[in-house]
Amino acid sequence: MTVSQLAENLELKKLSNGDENEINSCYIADLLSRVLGGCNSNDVWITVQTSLNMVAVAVMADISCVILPEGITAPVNVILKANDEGLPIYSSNKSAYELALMIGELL
Amino acid sequence: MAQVLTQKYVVGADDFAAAGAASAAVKKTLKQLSFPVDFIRRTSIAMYEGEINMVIHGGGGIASVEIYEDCVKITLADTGPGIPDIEQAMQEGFSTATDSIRELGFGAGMGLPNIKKQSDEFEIISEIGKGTKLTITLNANS
Repeated sequence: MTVSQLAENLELKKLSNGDENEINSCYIADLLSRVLGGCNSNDVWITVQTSLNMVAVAVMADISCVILPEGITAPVNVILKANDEGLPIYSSNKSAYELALMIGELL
Repeated sequence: MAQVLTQKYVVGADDFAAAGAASAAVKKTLKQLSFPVDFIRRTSIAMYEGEINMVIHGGGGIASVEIYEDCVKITLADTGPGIPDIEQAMQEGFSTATDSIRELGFGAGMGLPNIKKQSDEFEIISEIGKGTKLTITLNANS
C-alpha cells in the first residue's frame, strides 16, 4: 500500500507534500531515540511530536509518512522542512489507537 | 579499501533547529554514491544520534566523516564536560537530559545504545572537563 492510498482510506488531512512511499507497518512513539532504535524502514509513524527534529528523525529512519493524531497540526517551518525533505505529514482527528487499528486492517 | 571522500562539519551547541544537518548531508552523499539502502539507514541513525548528543551534551563540536568504497568511519569530537561514567551512559534508559530537552522528544536514554547497535566498530573516549570523542565504523557489507 502506498502513502496516498493509506491517506485516502483513513481520510487523513495532508499537511506536507512528500514522496509516494510504500508502507510496510506502523510504529507509535514520541521519544525520538526510541523511534530511531525501534521503527523499521517504510513504517507509518504516529506521533504527537511536531518539531523540526521529528522531520529529521523520520528522514534518517526512512519513515514512509508521519501521522499526527487527535487533530494535532504542525508549525509552518516544520511543514516547509518536510516538503523540502519529501516527507509526507498528515493529521487526523482520530487517536493513535484508532489509527493503528485501521492501519492494521488495511495492511 | 580506497578512500572516496572526506567530509567535515561544525555542529553547533544547543541549536536544535539545525541539529541533524550534518547527518542529512552525509545521507545524501551516501545515496549519491549508491550505497545499499539498509547501510545508509544504519549510518544515518548512528550519526544523527551522535550529532544530537553533541548538540545536547557536548557543547557542539566537529563531525568528521571518511567514506570508503565499502565502509564509513565517523568521528564526533566535542569539547564539552565529558562523561563521568561511560558504562552508565551506555545503559538503555540512562539520561542526563534536562526537562526542556525532554520536551523536544529527546532524553530517552537510547542514544549511545542505538549508535552501538547500528555500528560495526564503536569506541568512545571521554575526559572530564575536556570532551568526548566517539569513533564508529559501519561496513556496507555487514
